[in-house]
Amino acid sequence: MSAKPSIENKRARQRIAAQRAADQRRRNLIVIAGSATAVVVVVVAVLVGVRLTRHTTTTAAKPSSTVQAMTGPAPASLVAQVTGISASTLDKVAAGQVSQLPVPIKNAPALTSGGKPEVVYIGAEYCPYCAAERWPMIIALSRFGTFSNLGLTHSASGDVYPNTPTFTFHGSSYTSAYLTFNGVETNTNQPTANGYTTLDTPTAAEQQLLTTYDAAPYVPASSAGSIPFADLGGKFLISGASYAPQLLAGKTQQQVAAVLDDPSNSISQAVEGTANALTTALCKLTGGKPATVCSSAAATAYQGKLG
Amino acid sequence: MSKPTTGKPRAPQEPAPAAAPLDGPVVPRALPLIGVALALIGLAVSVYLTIEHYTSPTLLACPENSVINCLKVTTSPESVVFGIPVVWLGVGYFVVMTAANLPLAWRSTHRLLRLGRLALAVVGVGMALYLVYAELFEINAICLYCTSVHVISALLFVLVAFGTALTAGPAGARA
Repeated sequence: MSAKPSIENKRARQRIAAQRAADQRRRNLIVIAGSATAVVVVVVAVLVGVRLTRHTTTTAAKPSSTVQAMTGPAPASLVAQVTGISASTLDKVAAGQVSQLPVPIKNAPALTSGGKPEVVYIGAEYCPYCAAERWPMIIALSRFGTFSNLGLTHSASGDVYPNTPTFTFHGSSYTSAYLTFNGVETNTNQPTANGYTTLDTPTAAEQQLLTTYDAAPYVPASSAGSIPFADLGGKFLISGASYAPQLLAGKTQQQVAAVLDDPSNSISQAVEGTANALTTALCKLTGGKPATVCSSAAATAYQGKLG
Repeated sequence: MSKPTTGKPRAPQEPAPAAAPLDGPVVPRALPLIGVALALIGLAVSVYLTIEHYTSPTLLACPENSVINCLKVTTSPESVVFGIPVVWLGVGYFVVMTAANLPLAWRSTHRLLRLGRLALAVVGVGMALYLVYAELFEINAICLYCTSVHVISALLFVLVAFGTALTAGPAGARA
């Protein structure tokens, strides 16, 4: 009998022991990995849970920016200043500086009301993009009709582009020989635990427009449901702001209105350029009426560019 | 040059050593595949956010309501850490993670590489947790793209943690 078998046995036992040690270590590491994963899941669950149950008092208590835009009924002088921008100023602005144009809707039924093309706007008072978009909408629509009872508001104080000065369509009315207009403001700018106070409720038909056209393929799927949303007679849609609300930051409505007579001002370039694009679209709805508006340089600045 | 065969029956082979096999650890085939796929998706989202950060953040394709607001998140003070835009940190993280999850990297027993990948995964999920906290409690808005990056970071952490455990050699080995 040689000593070789016993040496081999010893080596075999050592290998088995090493294998077992490695397996044990692997098991321990897997337990550590599982525990670490559980910790991550628990931390996320706690964060979300606390956020859901916590009252958003901090948002409500946030101080507003230094210059506070006005709220309440819009003074007649201010409305006159905004809705009465001279045709020559709008002509000089022409295309202006617009980052997003109304998008044509292909093969959609015409949107009408009372035998006239209908414009439906859906937005919210807290929304800074809606705040920006209302200015050109009011300017453009005022070339076809008259607003009454417009109110003043500003975007939410705790949101991006806080306190963007603007008007509100809530409680307002619009009369025109060429168009009908319905403005829906779904929420105020006053934060609650789960968002903002509810204001106007869209009708079933308006909600259907939002569901159908503020979604793919009419807008990118990733931005479906964005506000502001506007359907211009079933022929064009707007989803999102046409220019950056930053332009209006820190200003009151009066300060914005004061520069609208200067066609070279950057606010005029954005606000009135957008208004001219809207006017071009609205003239397509009205069949070029009224001719004084639809044949102007302002209304033809975007001719052929809206698809 | 190959050894000439003797025609003798071969001696029983020594079983492969349990510790530090010469070919590296046995790596489940799906491990690097999933790792690289996650890292590349994260990289794509980070690159998109970086482009938007430097071009026109107002055109970020993202629904905007009282809860979801990508622009509010991506333009917040929390979007910059130590003077570096978080989007750049994301791009750097996912570039390194893509390389660290290649099959070659997973087969490596190099201690620094294995520990570095694990440390990076821990830093990634830690950063994601901080940013989730910032979105929920500081910014009061959720960015969908950022959330997808956070989820990918968490999944990469889970993958790397379990992958490191599964491919671990015995104590004292290079791994």
